[in-house]
Amino acid sequence: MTDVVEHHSPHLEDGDLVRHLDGASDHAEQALVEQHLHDCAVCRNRLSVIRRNASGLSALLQAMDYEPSADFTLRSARLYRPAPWQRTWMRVAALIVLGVGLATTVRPVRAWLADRWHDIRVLVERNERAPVSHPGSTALDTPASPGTITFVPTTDVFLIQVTTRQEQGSMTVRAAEVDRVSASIEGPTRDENLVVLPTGLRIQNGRASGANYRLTVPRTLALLLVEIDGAIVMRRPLRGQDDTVEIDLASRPLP
Amino acid sequence: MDLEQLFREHHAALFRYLTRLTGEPDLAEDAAQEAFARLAERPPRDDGHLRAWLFQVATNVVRDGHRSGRRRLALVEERRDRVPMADPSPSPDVAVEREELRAHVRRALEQLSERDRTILLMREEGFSHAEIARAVGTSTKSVGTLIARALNRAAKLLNLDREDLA
Repeated sequence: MTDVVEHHSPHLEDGDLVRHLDGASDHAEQALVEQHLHDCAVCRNRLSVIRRNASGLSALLQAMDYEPSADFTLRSARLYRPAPWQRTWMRVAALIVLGVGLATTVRPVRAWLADRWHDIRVLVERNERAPVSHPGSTALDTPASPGTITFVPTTDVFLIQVTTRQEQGSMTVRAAEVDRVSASIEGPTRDENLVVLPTGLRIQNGRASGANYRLTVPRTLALLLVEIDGAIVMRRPLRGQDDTVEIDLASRPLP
Repeated sequence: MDLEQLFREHHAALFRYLTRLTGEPDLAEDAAQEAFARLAERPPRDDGHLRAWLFQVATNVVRDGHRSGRRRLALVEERRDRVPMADPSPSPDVAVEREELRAHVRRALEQLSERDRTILLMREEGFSHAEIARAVGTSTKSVGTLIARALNRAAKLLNLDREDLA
């Protein structure tokens, strides 16, 4: 909410008027804006100008629209639907059935599994921690090792989303002369995960985690954003300069 | 997940958004196809924001200049002449006027920053301020101000209104 609602300024800001117009303000803000509009001809006029401009833009945009070719979109949908055998869950189910079948019926396989059980568990745990790519990322590299990831960012504004604050641990973000983002999980790890998003990277962690995270990002990015627990805690324009930021994941959010 | 149903629900809006974003119907259709192909291959875990996800993926496809050769081949076969939505068979004069108008709007949109363009076009498609905020990497609270500024710039470029919104 802007100054006018706190009675520091005589008029509403355009952002307040747009939020009002779009129904994006909360109930209390909506009531205050309506009251102000009732009393203020200047703001009523500005609201009508914004509304008129928005309507004019809509009309012009509609005039430039083309008709999509519906027949061929449906055809393409059929074309690219994964065949049943391609679906992940079916492949996993088939592997489990095959594995259980072999393990229980073939004696040499059973003996081999008993010998290798520890190694198999380690492999499974590593696989669970392997980075996950989001469909929005088009430039994901093969992970160098479990818990690490490199990829080419697709936006100038790069968002690092950390699921939650931790018992301890920190995140170090270095802006350097590189063309890829690289990230790794270090220290005492539990079930942390790195997920590439269309607009950045998500660090999936838990409150009990004590892991540290090291990221290197291209210094050509326009803006670096860090979000923890759904709140933006850092905005840093990089402006082509080398830079290093350390964020304490156990501390309180920055104002 | 019924892909054909999702096509029917979202493809027209996605194509419209992408055409406005790029000014190129063929590229828009290509990017929309790519987004739906990714949806079919690797759908998002959270399907509560499926529409926003589709638009975001398609925007990234456009931004990356991504064109899949394999998929594009499949599209070429059935491509038809594009038909403007307003009037399927305009007279030559009307068609010329419409092309001039389209070029005028296109030039204005191109002069906006990518973020302003995305914000305005997502708003046109009825996305919430929270969804727009996620797409452009900002806070929900600031989206109103960003829309107002972008709208002001667009209005000046398109001569929609002489009154300055500041």
